Amino acid sequence: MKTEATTTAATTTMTPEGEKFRDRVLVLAGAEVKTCIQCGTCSASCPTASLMDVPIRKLVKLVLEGEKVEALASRSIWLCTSCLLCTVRCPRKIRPMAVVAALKTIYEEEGKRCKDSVFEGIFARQIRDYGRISEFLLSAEYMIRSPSSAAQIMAFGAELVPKGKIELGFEAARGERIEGIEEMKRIFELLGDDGREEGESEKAEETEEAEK
Amino acid sequence: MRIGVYVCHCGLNIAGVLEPSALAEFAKTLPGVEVARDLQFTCSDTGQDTIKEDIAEQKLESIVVAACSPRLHEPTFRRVISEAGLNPFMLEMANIREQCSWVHMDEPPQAQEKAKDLIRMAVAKATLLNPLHGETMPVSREVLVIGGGVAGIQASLDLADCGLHVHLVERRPTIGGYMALLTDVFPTNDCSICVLAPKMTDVYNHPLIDLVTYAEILNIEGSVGRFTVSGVKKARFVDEKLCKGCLNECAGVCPVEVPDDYEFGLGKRKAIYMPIPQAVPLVACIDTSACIGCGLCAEACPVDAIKYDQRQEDFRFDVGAIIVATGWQSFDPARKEEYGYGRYRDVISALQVERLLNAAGPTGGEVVRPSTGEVAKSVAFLQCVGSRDETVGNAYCSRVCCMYALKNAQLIKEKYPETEVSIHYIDLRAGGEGYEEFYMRAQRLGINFIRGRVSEVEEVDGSLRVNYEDTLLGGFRSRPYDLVVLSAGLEPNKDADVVGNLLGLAKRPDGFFEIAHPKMRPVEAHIDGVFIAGCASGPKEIQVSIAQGEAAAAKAMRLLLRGELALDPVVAMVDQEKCIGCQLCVETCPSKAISVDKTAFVDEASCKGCGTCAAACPVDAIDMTLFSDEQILAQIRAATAVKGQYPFIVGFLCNWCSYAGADLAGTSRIQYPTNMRAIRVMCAGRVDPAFVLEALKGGADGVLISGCRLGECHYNKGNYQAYQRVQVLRGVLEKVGINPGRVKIIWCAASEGEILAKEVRKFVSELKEMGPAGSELAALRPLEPAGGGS
Amino acid sequence: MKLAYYPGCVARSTGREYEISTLAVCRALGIELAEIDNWNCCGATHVSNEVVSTALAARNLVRTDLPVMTSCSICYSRLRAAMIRLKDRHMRKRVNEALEKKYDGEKEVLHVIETITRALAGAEDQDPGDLIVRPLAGLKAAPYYGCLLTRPGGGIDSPENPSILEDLIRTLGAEPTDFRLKMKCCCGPIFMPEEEAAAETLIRILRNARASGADFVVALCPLCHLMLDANQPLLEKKLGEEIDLPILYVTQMAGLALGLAPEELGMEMNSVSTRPVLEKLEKIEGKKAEEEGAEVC
Repeated sequence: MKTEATTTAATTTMTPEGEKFRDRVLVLAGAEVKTCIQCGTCSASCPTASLMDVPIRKLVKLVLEGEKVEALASRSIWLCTSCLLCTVRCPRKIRPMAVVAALKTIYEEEGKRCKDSVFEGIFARQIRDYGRISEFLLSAEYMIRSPSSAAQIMAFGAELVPKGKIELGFEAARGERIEGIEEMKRIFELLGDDGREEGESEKAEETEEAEK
Repeated sequence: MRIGVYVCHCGLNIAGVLEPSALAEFAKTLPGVEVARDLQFTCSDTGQDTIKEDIAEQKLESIVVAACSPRLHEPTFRRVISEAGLNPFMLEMANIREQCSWVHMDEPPQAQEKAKDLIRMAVAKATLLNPLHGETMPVSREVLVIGGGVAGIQASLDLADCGLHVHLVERRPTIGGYMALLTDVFPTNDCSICVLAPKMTDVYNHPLIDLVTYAEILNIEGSVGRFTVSGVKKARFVDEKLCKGCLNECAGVCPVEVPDDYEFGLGKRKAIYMPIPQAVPLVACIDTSACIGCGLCAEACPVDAIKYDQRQEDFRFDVGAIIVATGWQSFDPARKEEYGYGRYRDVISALQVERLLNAAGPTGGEVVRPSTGEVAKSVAFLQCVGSRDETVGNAYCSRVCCMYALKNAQLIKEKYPETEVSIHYIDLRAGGEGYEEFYMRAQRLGINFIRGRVSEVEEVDGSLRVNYEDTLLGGFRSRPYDLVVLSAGLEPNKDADVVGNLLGLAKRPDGFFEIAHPKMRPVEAHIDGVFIAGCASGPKEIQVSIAQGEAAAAKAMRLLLRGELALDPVVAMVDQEKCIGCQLCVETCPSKAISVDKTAFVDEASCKGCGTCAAACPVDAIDMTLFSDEQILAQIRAATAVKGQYPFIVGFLCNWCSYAGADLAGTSRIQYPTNMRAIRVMCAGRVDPAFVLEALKGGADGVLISGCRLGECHYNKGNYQAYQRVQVLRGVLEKVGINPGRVKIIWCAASEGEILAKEVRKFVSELKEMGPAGSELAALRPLEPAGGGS
Repeated sequence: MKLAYYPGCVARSTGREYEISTLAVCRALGIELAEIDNWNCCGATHVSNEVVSTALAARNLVRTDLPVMTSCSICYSRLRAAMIRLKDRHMRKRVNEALEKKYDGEKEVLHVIETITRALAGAEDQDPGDLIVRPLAGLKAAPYYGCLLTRPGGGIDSPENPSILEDLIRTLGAEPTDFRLKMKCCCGPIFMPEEEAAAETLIRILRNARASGADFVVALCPLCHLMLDANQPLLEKKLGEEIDLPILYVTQMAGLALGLAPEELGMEMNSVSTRPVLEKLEKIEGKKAEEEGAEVC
């Protein structure tokens, strides 16, 4: 006879994918994330906390529970200003900002797109391809990929161009290219996929042990 | 040496697998053996009588019993042979039950061979045994108690009531410690000073307690039973015998006001002051850093007790034991800058709110905002300030803050029912008798509990704002309060470092003094004759501090009441001719038993016989009275004499964990290969690299060293030292072309018989893969003893 | 003193006046700057993969043997954070796989405010007056730290309540105002995609600075400056509220006190006119000269 559970709650177990997601974040953001005590110092310190749908503290918990879908769907990860206050204050010396950064990385790897990830993508590609950022190229490309931003960027441009701070034209942008761009490519291509392979979670454990 | 060997059948426990009669016959062939018998139950009266008779008739000088584990019956047989007139240390046991018949039940022939080797090894050691005499040493029946807080007070009273003379030394002008400054205390909310003051007075009046206040200990020499303590009693410029403690006269006329350190900066006191109204001794004290020398107090004193020319006095006395009750200090809340302590006047510390709540405090018991002097209408308690916080280096929970915050919140709510009181916490910890009920009481009183660590405190338009995430409801919040109380954690008392260094006390990573075992020896230090009570070994409540004071007193009594100390004769001894005074042994010794004055000297009263020093000595100048180099080397040679098995392993098991673990494998009948011949040592740290080389030279295929799990060494750090030596040795082996995998070190607790068995199995298969000893050297030159010594 | 100079990308675009004034001030203080050869972007806050961002910072650090100075708080924080991450031997190994010149240990990294503060402190036992030829007496400055100058912790000053900028303002003769939001993040890194969110914080910072009674705000980071200065007219338009608060780079403020001309400090390049600051200073100086003149008579 099949036994009936008395609870009506859905059975909760971590899916293999959830586990993989959690382990990848632990590689990217540090195995110490496991020691989170959910105290809320990070969320309460965050300058954009009041705009966030999921507090940073809860993001950490979602990661540890392998709740990939909910974590990656949160707008909060794009509201992080990287100000590091959470990281300075965390009583467990976890770096909540690194958790957010890890979520951004995974979001992009999964092929998901939003206006914020588009901007980050353009930024990173420029560094990879030219070595430096040209604000003209950055704005131009962002405007093309995210047309709704055009008004904002043009207004800003109107402030900056007359002051000679942004030079127009591709020639100006080319001036900021560095020599030996292969090294930049190597940095992005060789180092960009840490922890994506299976078994990387062991590496995270190892690092943790070694630090002890 | 005339040796008798007794092989036990132990019913079928041994005889079911081995053939005791054949073993006895074998023993007869060994050099020095005069008598060898197999006996049904050697530990029975008949067995014991047989041994006694043989000793008398055959004039035996040393006895080998091949039977169960020495951890079981060594005391029995030592008694037996001493009853027959032999020195009890002229006994060696071969463990053919727990470590042979019980673990090799399926391989009787191999087990029989192993049993022969074990008996050969035991006889080899028995040949070299020496009579040892456990001496006694008279001890001083006086005790030094350092620190006059509640733990030290309790210890002093218990000791003195039992007739021991106590020297209670306190750094500050009065005893009582922090407890004397608290208001009511949890979980019963009784008045702190009311329950403490009678004990303080008892200390003062007890004929067997010498109370030395306002004093510093400058030096401690000697060891258990005979410490010599010296220090100074600072001048308080008031004659203790003359002062009547009236205070009004002198302090009343003193023109100098300074912040009162006993009020934690909330109130003021004069340059001449009484620390607290209940001070013991009830004698005023002049703060020289504030006194302007106007002389008004001297004029005012009705009994001429003020002595400006008073000098500090030296003291010196001998004691048999020391109780360290140096207590704690508060975490400095100003270090958490985001909470604004020291920047915003209405942010105060937990100790300050204790004083505000205290009827004898600076506000007469009114909880007011320091900025306005008005009663606070809303009060927040912020938990975990400086505890559970790695950013300030304190990873630990201070254990008492939840409870004292609950208590102070209740006191405020009871006194001012209209006042809004909140506790901002991460986790509320109320584990203790009556504690959870105390928490419920606070809930019923209407105190708010908000889960979420506060990120910062700001001052907005004259009122404090506390920012936090309510982690249960979610959402970033900011709440206004009149008064914010920071529940600052407890830190090790920095002033205790002097005493800690003098005694050589170890510190845990959290900075508190380490006790000898985190569970089993809660009030003992690693140093013999030194005990630790109260917060010196970590944050704890008053009730636990008192219990520890009592426990430490009981331990000191146990040590000193008999008036003499029985010394274990298993100790290290130094060959003065060989010693080069390099001090390496001093650093190695976990018991601070060795001192060097040109050459090394072992204090036998302190030595615990681990033998780590003997292994460390670079010139082999140190040896042990039992488990000597000579004895162990003889055991190794005897073990490797035949090598009837491949791979052949020589094992070194520490007495406390690994040997006991191997015994447990036996009592649990966990089967493992017969390839290992184990030698018992007191500590893995005893294993001299020369032992390992001797085994390899004798043709052993592998050497297994097993110690207590890291952090659990009976002698504190012996296993770490063993580990270091093995690492170095493996490097050396590799250089000369020997596979370093032949030397293995493992950790096995007394409860881990399965682990020991597993490791032996694993090692056997590893060695099989490596091939026989020396196979890797086939192409190389013959093995030379690499360096020989340690 | 000779330092390696790491300009950062913004120095060559929206932060031109920061670079101009940085170079001018260092020259005036006798500090020689050698620009790091072929430097690359530090990744700022937009490279989320930490191994990559650490490698980007490290590539700059290995290109010189001198202590490294930068004016940008983001670059400064990135270089310091990378050095902390590189203490981990796994990270070091990983990063060195991609780098041509291998990272082999920490370097001293300085923010320009540290450089200025040290140079002035070093000069004090000689004669500070020699350097500060035009004290900014009478001016009130709102010290705006932003977030990254003091983070990660363990660096230049307390990450909770720093005072290095207030101290410098006082040294230069001006008065720091009680600016409560001095540590509030400008939200610059999310400005492009999340303008609404950023604007709300920016306006609070500007209002608070204004309310503190400041004649101008001192900025230490080109992104903070961009948000508060170039962005200010847009915010004004959006809110229909006049703010009109000049935002000076720390180097522009220091340059003035060191007697450099506004043109040498690129002060005409600021979006919000810096004229009111200069005019107030001239007026105060004029009054003072008058009084002194009167005394002489």
